[in-house]
Amino acid sequence: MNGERLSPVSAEQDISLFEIEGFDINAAFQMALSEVAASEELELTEKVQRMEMIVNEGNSDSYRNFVDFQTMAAQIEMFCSHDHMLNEAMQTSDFMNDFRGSQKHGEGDDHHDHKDDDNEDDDLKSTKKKKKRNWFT
Amino acid sequence: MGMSEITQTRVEDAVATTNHFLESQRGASLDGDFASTQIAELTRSMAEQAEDLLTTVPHPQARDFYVPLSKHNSQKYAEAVATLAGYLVLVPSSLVEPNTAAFYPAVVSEDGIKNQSLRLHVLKQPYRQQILYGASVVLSAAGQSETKGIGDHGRKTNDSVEAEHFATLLAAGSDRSVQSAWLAGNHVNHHWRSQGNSSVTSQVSNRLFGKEIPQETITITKRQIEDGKAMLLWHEGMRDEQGKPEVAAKPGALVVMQGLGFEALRQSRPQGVDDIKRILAVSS
Repeated sequence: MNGERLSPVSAEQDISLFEIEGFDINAAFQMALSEVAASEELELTEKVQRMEMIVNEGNSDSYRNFVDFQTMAAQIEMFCSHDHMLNEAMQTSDFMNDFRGSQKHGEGDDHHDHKDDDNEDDDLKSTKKKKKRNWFT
Repeated sequence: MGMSEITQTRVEDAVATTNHFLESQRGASLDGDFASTQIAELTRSMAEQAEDLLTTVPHPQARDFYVPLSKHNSQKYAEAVATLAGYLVLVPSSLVEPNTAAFYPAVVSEDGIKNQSLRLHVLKQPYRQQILYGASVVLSAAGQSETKGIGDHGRKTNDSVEAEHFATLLAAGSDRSVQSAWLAGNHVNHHWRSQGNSSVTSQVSNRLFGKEIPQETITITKRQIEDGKAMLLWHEGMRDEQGKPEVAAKPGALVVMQGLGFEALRQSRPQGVDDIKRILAVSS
Protein backbone atom coordinates (compact mmCIF):
# COMPACT_ATOMS: atom_id res chain seq x y z
CA MET A 1 0.00 0.00 0.00
CA ASN A 2 1.45 3.34 -0.95
CA GLY A 3 -1.01 5.36 1.10
CA GLU A 4 -1.60 7.74 -1.79
CA ARG A 5 -4.86 9.55 -1.36
CA LEU A 6 -6.32 11.55 -4.18
CA SER A 7 -8.11 14.63 -3.03
CA PRO A 8 -11.88 14.23 -2.94
CA VAL A 9 -13.53 15.41 -6.13
CA SER A 10 -16.05 18.09 -5.43
CA ALA A 11 -15.94 20.44 -8.39
CA GLU A 12 -18.88 19.91 -10.76
CA GLN A 13 -16.60 19.86 -13.82
CA ASP A 14 -14.73 16.84 -12.51
CA ILE A 15 -17.81 14.66 -12.49
CA SER A 16 -17.08 13.77 -16.13
CA LEU A 17 -14.10 11.76 -14.89
CA PHE A 18 -16.56 9.42 -13.20
CA GLU A 19 -19.05 9.04 -16.00
CA ILE A 20 -19.07 6.74 -18.95
CA GLU A 21 -20.76 7.20 -22.26
CA GLY A 22 -24.22 5.70 -22.55
CA PHE A 23 -24.57 5.15 -18.82
CA ASP A 24 -27.11 7.52 -17.32
CA ILE A 25 -28.98 6.15 -14.34
CA ASN A 26 -31.29 9.13 -14.04
CA ALA A 27 -32.27 8.95 -17.70
CA ALA A 28 -33.00 5.22 -17.33
CA PHE A 29 -35.33 5.84 -14.39
CA GLN A 30 -37.12 8.72 -16.13
CA MET A 31 -37.55 6.63 -19.26
CA ALA A 32 -38.83 3.62 -17.33
CA LEU A 33 -41.41 5.78 -15.59
CA SER A 34 -42.46 7.43 -18.80
CA GLU A 35 -42.87 4.09 -20.59
CA VAL A 36 -45.09 2.75 -17.83
CA ALA A 37 -47.20 5.91 -17.69
CA ALA A 38 -47.65 5.98 -21.45
CA SER A 39 -48.31 2.26 -21.86
CA GLU A 40 -51.59 1.41 -23.53
CA GLU A 41 -51.39 -2.23 -22.52
CA LEU A 42 -51.06 -2.01 -18.74
CA GLU A 43 -54.07 -1.86 -16.45
CA LEU A 44 -54.24 1.27 -14.29
CA THR A 45 -53.56 -0.62 -11.08
CA GLU A 46 -50.53 -2.28 -12.63
CA LYS A 47 -49.29 1.07 -13.88
CA VAL A 48 -49.47 2.50 -10.38
CA GLN A 49 -47.76 -0.57 -8.90
CA ARG A 50 -44.96 -0.39 -11.43
CA MET A 51 -44.50 3.32 -10.88
CA GLU A 52 -44.30 2.67 -7.16
CA MET A 53 -41.60 0.10 -7.81
CA ILE A 54 -39.64 2.48 -10.02
CA VAL A 55 -39.82 5.33 -7.53
CA ASN A 56 -39.00 2.95 -4.71
CA GLU A 57 -36.01 1.49 -6.53
CA GLY A 58 -34.83 4.98 -7.43
CA ASN A 59 -34.96 5.87 -3.77
CA SER A 60 -32.85 2.88 -2.72
CA ASP A 61 -29.38 3.45 -1.33
CA SER A 62 -27.91 2.32 -4.62
CA TYR A 63 -29.54 4.89 -6.85
CA ARG A 64 -30.97 7.73 -4.71
CA ASN A 65 -28.13 10.11 -5.40
CA PHE A 66 -28.33 9.63 -9.13
CA VAL A 67 -32.06 10.18 -9.58
CA ASP A 68 -33.74 13.53 -10.09
CA PHE A 69 -37.01 13.02 -8.22
CA GLN A 70 -38.38 16.43 -9.11
CA THR A 71 -38.20 15.63 -12.81
CA MET A 72 -39.77 12.27 -12.06
CA ALA A 73 -42.61 13.96 -10.18
CA ALA A 74 -43.05 16.52 -12.95
CA GLN A 75 -43.44 13.67 -15.43
CA ILE A 76 -46.08 12.07 -13.25
CA GLU A 77 -47.97 15.36 -12.96
CA MET A 78 -47.87 15.81 -16.71
CA PHE A 79 -49.24 12.33 -17.37
CA CYS A 80 -51.89 12.74 -14.68
CA SER A 81 -53.02 16.07 -16.08
CA HIS A 82 -53.61 14.39 -19.43
CA ASP A 83 -55.13 11.21 -18.05
CA HIS A 84 -57.85 11.67 -15.48
CA MET A 85 -58.19 7.92 -14.89
CA LEU A 86 -54.50 7.57 -14.16
CA ASN A 87 -54.69 10.51 -11.80
CA GLU A 88 -57.53 8.85 -9.89
CA ALA A 89 -55.78 5.51 -9.77
CA MET A 90 -52.65 7.22 -8.49
CA GLN A 91 -54.58 8.77 -5.63
CA THR A 92 -55.41 5.33 -4.27
CA SER A 93 -51.73 4.78 -3.56
CA ASP A 94 -50.50 6.29 -0.31
CA PHE A 95 -46.95 5.86 -1.50
CA MET A 96 -47.47 7.83 -4.69
CA ASN A 97 -49.51 10.45 -2.86
CA ASP A 98 -46.66 10.94 -0.42
CA PHE A 99 -44.18 11.13 -3.24
CA ARG A 100 -46.18 13.64 -5.29
CA GLY A 101 -46.92 15.71 -2.20
CA SER A 102 -43.29 15.87 -1.13
CA GLN A 103 -42.11 16.89 -4.59
CA LYS A 104 -44.80 19.52 -5.04
CA HIS A 105 -43.64 21.05 -1.81
CA GLY A 106 -40.07 20.98 -3.05
CA GLU A 107 -40.97 22.59 -6.37
CA GLY A 108 -42.81 25.36 -4.58
CA ASP A 109 -39.70 26.17 -2.61
CA ASP A 110 -37.55 26.24 -5.71
CA HIS A 111 -39.94 28.34 -7.72
CA HIS A 112 -40.72 30.96 -5.16
CA ASP A 113 -38.01 33.35 -6.19
CA HIS A 114 -35.79 33.24 -9.25
CA LYS A 115 -33.20 35.98 -9.19
CA ASP A 116 -29.98 36.34 -11.09
CA ASP A 117 -28.03 36.06 -7.94
CA ASP A 118 -25.11 33.63 -8.08
CA ASN A 119 -25.07 33.08 -4.37
CA GLU A 120 -28.75 32.35 -4.31
CA ASP A 121 -28.37 29.97 -7.25
CA ASP A 122 -25.69 28.14 -5.34
CA ASP A 123 -27.96 27.94 -2.32
CA LEU A 124 -30.76 26.55 -4.45
CA LYS A 125 -28.47 23.97 -5.98
CA SER A 126 -27.24 22.84 -2.63
CA THR A 127 -30.80 22.72 -1.24
CA LYS A 128 -31.88 20.64 -4.23
CA LYS A 129 -29.02 18.24 -3.65
CA LYS A 130 -29.95 17.87 -0.01
CA LYS A 131 -33.54 17.20 -0.94
CA LYS A 132 -32.56 14.58 -3.45
CA ARG A 133 -30.32 12.88 -0.98
CA ASN A 134 -32.78 12.93 1.87
CA TRP A 135 -35.98 12.23 0.04
CA PHE A 136 -38.16 9.62 1.72
CA THR A 137 -35.59 8.73 4.34
CA MET B 1 -34.21 -21.67 -10.84
CA GLY B 2 -33.48 -18.06 -9.92
CA MET B 3 -30.87 -16.85 -7.52
CA SER B 4 -33.54 -16.13 -4.94
CA GLU B 5 -34.12 -19.87 -4.88
CA ILE B 6 -30.52 -20.70 -4.09
CA THR B 7 -31.15 -21.64 -0.48
CA GLN B 8 -28.88 -23.66 1.74
CA THR B 9 -31.33 -26.56 1.78
CA ARG B 10 -31.59 -26.64 -1.98
CA VAL B 11 -27.82 -26.42 -2.27
CA GLU B 12 -27.27 -29.34 0.11
CA ASP B 13 -29.78 -31.47 -1.80
CA ALA B 14 -28.24 -30.64 -5.18
CA VAL B 15 -24.71 -31.42 -4.01
CA ALA B 16 -25.81 -34.70 -2.40
CA THR B 17 -27.60 -35.81 -5.58
CA THR B 18 -24.63 -34.92 -7.76
CA ASN B 19 -22.15 -36.63 -5.47
CA HIS B 20 -24.34 -39.73 -5.52
CA PHE B 21 -24.29 -39.66 -9.33
CA LEU B 22 -20.53 -39.23 -9.54
CA GLU B 23 -19.85 -41.88 -6.95
CA SER B 24 -22.00 -44.36 -8.83
CA GLN B 25 -20.20 -43.54 -12.08
CA ARG B 26 -16.66 -42.96 -10.95
CA GLY B 27 -16.38 -43.66 -7.27
CA ALA B 28 -15.48 -40.01 -6.80
CA SER B 29 -17.27 -36.92 -5.60
CA LEU B 30 -17.44 -33.32 -6.77
CA ASP B 31 -14.11 -31.55 -6.97
CA GLY B 32 -13.23 -27.90 -6.36
CA ASP B 33 -13.78 -27.57 -2.65
CA PHE B 34 -10.18 -26.39 -2.26
CA ALA B 35 -10.89 -23.28 -4.36
CA SER B 36 -12.63 -21.27 -1.65
CA THR B 37 -9.70 -21.70 0.73
CA GLN B 38 -7.32 -20.73 -2.03
CA ILE B 39 -9.23 -17.54 -2.88
CA ALA B 40 -9.47 -16.71 0.81
CA GLU B 41 -5.67 -16.98 1.11
CA LEU B 42 -5.05 -14.96 -2.04
CA THR B 43 -7.34 -12.13 -0.99
CA ARG B 44 -6.05 -12.15 2.58
CA SER B 45 -2.54 -11.55 1.27
CA MET B 46 -3.79 -8.44 -0.55
CA ALA B 47 -6.33 -7.30 2.02
CA GLU B 48 -4.75 -4.01 3.00
CA GLN B 49 -3.91 -2.87 -0.53
CA ALA B 50 -7.27 -4.00 -1.83
CA GLU B 51 -9.31 -2.15 0.78
CA ASP B 52 -7.22 0.93 0.21
CA LEU B 53 -7.76 0.80 -3.53
CA LEU B 54 -11.46 0.09 -3.18
CA THR B 55 -12.14 2.97 -0.80
CA THR B 56 -9.65 5.71 -1.68
CA VAL B 57 -11.79 7.64 -4.16
CA PRO B 58 -15.35 8.39 -3.04
CA HIS B 59 -17.87 8.89 -5.82
CA PRO B 60 -18.34 12.66 -6.09
CA GLN B 61 -22.11 12.33 -6.44
CA ALA B 62 -23.16 9.32 -4.42
CA ARG B 63 -22.64 8.69 -0.75
CA ASP B 64 -21.17 5.28 0.19
CA PHE B 65 -20.02 4.64 -3.36
CA TYR B 66 -16.37 4.55 -4.34
CA VAL B 67 -14.64 4.49 -7.70
CA PRO B 68 -11.53 2.30 -7.42
CA LEU B 69 -10.73 2.71 -11.09
CA SER B 70 -11.86 5.28 -13.63
CA LYS B 71 -10.53 7.92 -16.00
CA HIS B 72 -9.75 9.88 -12.83
CA ASN B 73 -7.07 7.39 -11.76
CA SER B 74 -6.46 5.16 -14.77
CA GLN B 75 -2.79 4.89 -13.75
CA LYS B 76 -3.99 2.44 -11.09
CA TYR B 77 -4.95 -0.15 -13.72
CA ALA B 78 -1.99 -2.49 -13.13
CA GLU B 79 -2.42 -2.17 -9.37
CA ALA B 80 -6.09 -3.11 -9.72
CA VAL B 81 -5.23 -6.21 -11.75
CA ALA B 82 -2.64 -7.34 -9.21
CA THR B 83 -4.57 -6.43 -6.09
CA LEU B 84 -8.25 -7.05 -6.68
CA ALA B 85 -8.22 -10.67 -7.91
CA GLY B 86 -10.95 -12.47 -5.99
CA TYR B 87 -12.61 -9.24 -4.83
CA LEU B 88 -16.17 -8.22 -5.61
CA VAL B 89 -16.74 -4.90 -7.38
CA LEU B 90 -19.49 -3.15 -9.31
CA VAL B 91 -19.51 -2.23 -12.97
CA PRO B 92 -21.86 -0.05 -15.02
CA SER B 93 -24.36 -2.37 -16.67
CA SER B 94 -23.81 -0.69 -20.03
CA LEU B 95 -20.47 -2.54 -20.25
CA VAL B 96 -22.36 -5.78 -20.85
CA GLU B 97 -25.82 -4.57 -21.86
CA PRO B 98 -26.06 -1.43 -23.99
CA ASN B 99 -28.72 1.12 -23.07
CA THR B 100 -29.09 -0.05 -19.49
CA ALA B 101 -28.15 1.89 -16.39
CA ALA B 102 -27.70 -0.11 -13.23
CA PHE B 103 -24.77 -1.33 -11.19
CA TYR B 104 -23.97 -4.98 -11.75
CA PRO B 105 -21.85 -6.94 -9.26
CA ALA B 106 -18.76 -8.64 -10.63
CA VAL B 107 -15.79 -10.60 -9.41
CA VAL B 108 -12.25 -9.90 -10.52
CA SER B 109 -10.73 -13.07 -11.99
CA GLU B 110 -7.37 -14.40 -10.88
CA ASP B 111 -6.75 -15.40 -14.51
CA GLY B 112 -6.38 -11.72 -15.41
CA ILE B 113 -3.06 -11.60 -13.56
CA LYS B 114 -1.51 -13.91 -16.19
CA ASN B 115 -2.12 -11.39 -18.98
CA GLN B 116 -1.95 -8.26 -16.86
CA SER B 117 -5.54 -7.54 -17.78
CA LEU B 118 -8.66 -6.82 -15.80
CA ARG B 119 -10.84 -9.87 -16.34
CA LEU B 120 -14.26 -9.78 -14.73
CA HIS B 121 -17.16 -12.18 -14.33
CA VAL B 122 -20.26 -10.01 -14.29
CA LEU B 123 -23.56 -11.09 -12.80
CA LYS B 124 -26.10 -9.28 -14.94
CA GLN B 125 -28.53 -8.37 -12.20
CA PRO B 126 -28.76 -4.99 -10.50
CA TYR B 127 -26.88 -4.60 -7.26
CA ARG B 128 -29.17 -3.73 -4.37
CA GLN B 129 -27.38 -2.36 -1.33
CA GLN B 130 -25.72 -5.64 -0.44
CA ILE B 131 -24.71 -8.93 -1.98
CA LEU B 132 -27.30 -11.50 -0.96
CA TYR B 133 -26.65 -15.21 -0.41
CA GLY B 134 -27.58 -16.40 -3.91
CA ALA B 135 -25.52 -13.73 -5.68
CA SER B 136 -22.64 -14.32 -3.30
CA VAL B 137 -22.58 -18.03 -4.15
CA VAL B 138 -22.75 -17.36 -7.89
CA LEU B 139 -20.01 -14.72 -7.78
CA SER B 140 -17.84 -16.82 -5.48
CA ALA B 141 -18.11 -19.79 -7.81
CA ALA B 142 -17.19 -17.57 -10.75
CA GLY B 143 -14.15 -16.25 -8.89
CA GLN B 144 -13.13 -19.71 -7.74
CA SER B 145 -13.54 -21.13 -11.25
CA GLU B 146 -10.28 -19.49 -12.33
CA THR B 147 -8.08 -19.98 -9.34
CA LYS B 148 -4.90 -22.05 -9.58
CA GLY B 149 -5.44 -25.79 -9.98
CA ILE B 150 -8.88 -25.51 -11.54
CA GLY B 151 -8.75 -27.09 -14.97
CA ASP B 152 -5.32 -28.65 -14.53
CA HIS B 153 -5.13 -32.08 -16.08
CA GLY B 154 -4.03 -34.73 -13.66
CA ARG B 155 -4.70 -32.71 -10.55
CA LYS B 156 -7.13 -35.47 -9.72
CA THR B 157 -6.29 -39.10 -10.40
CA ASN B 158 -9.44 -39.22 -12.48
CA ASP B 159 -9.66 -35.85 -14.16
CA SER B 160 -13.01 -36.50 -15.82
CA VAL B 161 -14.62 -35.15 -12.68
CA GLU B 162 -12.13 -32.38 -12.08
CA ALA B 163 -14.22 -29.25 -11.43
CA GLU B 164 -13.73 -27.48 -14.75
CA HIS B 165 -14.17 -30.71 -16.69
CA PHE B 166 -17.31 -31.70 -14.88
CA ALA B 167 -18.76 -28.24 -15.49
CA THR B 168 -17.96 -28.66 -19.17
CA LEU B 169 -19.53 -32.11 -19.17
CA LEU B 170 -22.69 -30.53 -17.82
CA ALA B 171 -22.62 -28.13 -20.75
CA ALA B 172 -22.07 -31.12 -23.04
CA GLY B 173 -25.19 -32.71 -21.57
CA SER B 174 -27.23 -29.76 -22.70
CA ASP B 175 -25.48 -28.92 -25.95
CA ARG B 176 -24.73 -31.39 -28.72
CA SER B 177 -21.92 -29.31 -30.19
CA VAL B 178 -20.05 -29.28 -26.88
CA GLN B 179 -20.67 -33.01 -26.59
CA SER B 180 -19.28 -33.72 -30.07
CA ALA B 181 -16.24 -31.60 -29.38
CA TRP B 182 -15.58 -33.40 -26.11
CA LEU B 183 -15.93 -36.85 -27.68
CA ALA B 184 -13.52 -35.75 -30.39
CA GLY B 185 -10.99 -34.98 -27.69
CA ASN B 186 -11.45 -31.22 -27.76
CA HIS B 187 -11.88 -30.08 -24.21
CA VAL B 188 -13.56 -26.81 -25.07
CA ASN B 189 -13.14 -25.48 -21.55
CA HIS B 190 -9.54 -24.55 -22.35
CA HIS B 191 -10.70 -22.59 -25.39
CA TRP B 192 -13.46 -20.82 -23.46
CA ARG B 193 -11.11 -19.88 -20.68
CA SER B 194 -8.43 -18.53 -22.99
CA GLN B 195 -10.78 -15.97 -24.53
CA GLY B 196 -10.99 -12.45 -23.14
CA ASN B 197 -14.76 -12.30 -23.27
CA SER B 198 -15.62 -15.87 -22.46
CA SER B 199 -15.11 -18.34 -19.63
CA VAL B 200 -16.18 -21.77 -18.50
CA THR B 201 -18.40 -20.09 -15.94
CA SER B 202 -20.29 -17.93 -18.42
CA GLN B 203 -20.55 -20.65 -21.08
CA VAL B 204 -21.80 -23.30 -18.68
CA SER B 205 -24.11 -20.87 -16.90
CA ASN B 206 -25.66 -19.67 -20.15
CA ARG B 207 -26.41 -23.23 -21.17
CA LEU B 208 -27.70 -24.54 -17.86
CA PHE B 209 -29.25 -21.57 -16.12
CA GLY B 210 -29.92 -19.18 -19.00
CA LYS B 211 -31.62 -15.97 -17.96
CA GLU B 212 -32.15 -17.21 -14.42
CA ILE B 213 -28.51 -16.55 -13.61
CA PRO B 214 -27.26 -14.30 -16.41
CA GLN B 215 -23.50 -14.03 -16.39
CA GLU B 216 -20.90 -12.64 -18.74
CA THR B 217 -17.13 -12.53 -18.71
CA ILE B 218 -15.42 -9.40 -19.96
CA THR B 219 -11.94 -7.99 -20.12
CA ILE B 220 -11.55 -4.29 -19.51
CA THR B 221 -8.47 -2.72 -21.04
CA LYS B 222 -6.44 0.15 -19.69
CA ARG B 223 -7.36 2.09 -22.79
CA GLN B 224 -11.05 1.73 -22.01
CA ILE B 225 -10.44 3.15 -18.55
CA GLU B 226 -8.33 6.02 -19.90
CA ASP B 227 -10.98 6.87 -22.48
CA GLY B 228 -13.73 6.90 -19.89
CA LYS B 229 -15.48 3.93 -21.48
CA ALA B 230 -15.25 1.69 -18.42
CA MET B 231 -14.81 1.94 -14.68
CA LEU B 232 -15.00 -0.05 -11.48
CA LEU B 233 -17.14 0.94 -8.53
CA TRP B 234 -17.57 -0.32 -5.00
CA HIS B 235 -20.22 0.25 -2.33
CA GLU B 236 -20.08 0.19 1.46
CA GLY B 237 -22.77 -2.49 1.45
CA MET B 238 -20.22 -4.87 -0.07
CA ARG B 239 -18.63 -5.76 3.23
CA ASP B 240 -18.76 -9.21 4.81
CA GLU B 241 -19.83 -10.03 8.36
CA GLN B 242 -16.38 -9.04 9.63
CA GLY B 243 -16.63 -5.67 7.92
CA LYS B 244 -14.04 -6.52 5.28
CA PRO B 245 -14.62 -6.01 1.55
CA GLU B 246 -16.41 -9.09 0.28
CA VAL B 247 -14.42 -11.68 -1.65
CA ALA B 248 -15.29 -14.73 -3.72
CA ALA B 249 -14.53 -17.14 -0.90
CA LYS B 250 -17.94 -18.59 -0.11
CA PRO B 251 -17.09 -22.12 1.12
CA GLY B 252 -17.70 -24.77 -1.49
CA ALA B 253 -19.28 -22.35 -3.98
CA LEU B 254 -17.75 -24.09 -6.98
CA VAL B 255 -19.03 -27.44 -5.78
CA VAL B 256 -22.44 -25.89 -5.16
CA MET B 257 -22.73 -24.47 -8.67
CA GLN B 258 -21.76 -27.81 -10.19
CA GLY B 259 -24.46 -29.43 -8.07
CA LEU B 260 -27.04 -26.84 -9.11
CA GLY B 261 -25.94 -27.27 -12.71
CA PHE B 262 -26.45 -31.02 -12.50
CA GLU B 263 -29.93 -30.46 -11.05
CA ALA B 264 -30.75 -27.95 -13.77
CA LEU B 265 -29.67 -30.42 -16.45
CA ARG B 266 -31.64 -33.24 -14.86
CA GLN B 267 -34.78 -31.13 -14.92
CA SER B 268 -34.41 -29.46 -18.30
CA ARG B 269 -32.93 -32.35 -20.29
CA PRO B 270 -32.88 -35.68 -18.42
CA GLN B 271 -31.36 -37.46 -21.41
CA GLY B 272 -28.36 -35.13 -20.96
CA VAL B 273 -27.52 -37.03 -17.78
CA ASP B 274 -27.42 -40.26 -19.81
CA ASP B 275 -25.16 -38.53 -22.31
CA ILE B 276 -22.77 -37.63 -19.49
CA LYS B 277 -22.79 -41.23 -18.30
CA ARG B 278 -21.80 -42.35 -21.78
CA ILE B 279 -19.02 -39.78 -22.00
CA LEU B 280 -17.69 -40.83 -18.62
CA ALA B 281 -17.77 -44.47 -19.68
CA VAL B 282 -15.92 -43.74 -22.92
CA SER B 283 -13.27 -41.64 -21.20
CA SER B 284 -12.55 -44.13 -18.43
